[in-house]
Amino acid sequence: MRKSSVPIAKDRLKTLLITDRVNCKPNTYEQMSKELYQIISKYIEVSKDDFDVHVTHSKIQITLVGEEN
Amino acid sequence: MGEVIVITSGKGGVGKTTTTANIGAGLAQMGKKIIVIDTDLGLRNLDVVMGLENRIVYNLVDVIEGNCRLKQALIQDKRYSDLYLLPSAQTKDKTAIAPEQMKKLTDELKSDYDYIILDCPAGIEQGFQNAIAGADRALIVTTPEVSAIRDADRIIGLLKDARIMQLDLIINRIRLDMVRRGDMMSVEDVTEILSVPLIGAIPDDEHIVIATNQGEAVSGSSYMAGQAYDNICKRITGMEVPFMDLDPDTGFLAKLSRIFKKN
Repeated sequence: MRKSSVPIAKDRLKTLLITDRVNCKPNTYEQMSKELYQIISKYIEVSKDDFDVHVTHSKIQITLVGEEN
Repeated sequence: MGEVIVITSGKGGVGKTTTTANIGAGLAQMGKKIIVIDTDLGLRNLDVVMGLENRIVYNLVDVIEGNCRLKQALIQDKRYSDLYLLPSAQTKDKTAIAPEQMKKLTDELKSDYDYIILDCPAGIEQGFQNAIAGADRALIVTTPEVSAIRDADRIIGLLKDARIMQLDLIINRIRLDMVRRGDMMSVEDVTEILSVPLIGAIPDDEHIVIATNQGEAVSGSSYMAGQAYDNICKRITGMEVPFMDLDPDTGFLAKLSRIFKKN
């Protein structure tokens, strides 16, 4: 069966909106996420699958959410 | 004291003008006194969607330049006597009006109308700046497509920069059959991405095309899109209305029509 197209649309949008919101190059988000992951995993145990960076219009805010057990 | 609402989207073709016409008619139907203003200079459309294109004598630019009095340019709606249209100019370019002039006009209109509704042109240039200049609040129209949502996000940023704080989202042309099979972003998906409160979702309803062909509004009708517009109008006035089920097969209206069909 063909995969649904919504996850692709949402992924593309996520990168697009971040690029637009902080006015950076398209690959900046990928790089930033990677580096943030490296930094945070030095101090906190995180897994790649559950690591996510959100960029919004609001003032800078860093939220670290633990994994559900 | 009236409220100035700008209807905007960034991207063209997502349904701003149709939304303006239907919200104008819906609010008028609720007994409000309404003026809708087409601010798209050079590409006049709202008159056509409302079926009033044959009655235009003067336009927005004439009013602002003082070539006529406001009353002379206003066109009364065919169905609702408290709904008026101020049409745009077809020949002038978008630099014919400045944001300050637009703000002065909408400020003056606040004493005579409950709602002043501005149909904003696509884009983020001067036409957009004119349309938002005097706005108290904005309704952002988008469709569940990547390009439309991206443009809506830019517009939201610009509206916030312009200190327009009350922003509400309208998601247009939702097709529940496609959402269900995972090929269209859902109302929840879009609302979450844009993080602006949802004021209504409009199903992709062929009755909108039919009504627009005839120069009429669907609001006030029993069609799904009509009900969705009516709900948006109620929420604009501050009423709390539950969000409707847009599924044509399980929705309230479908159930109702099935009951009638049986008899």
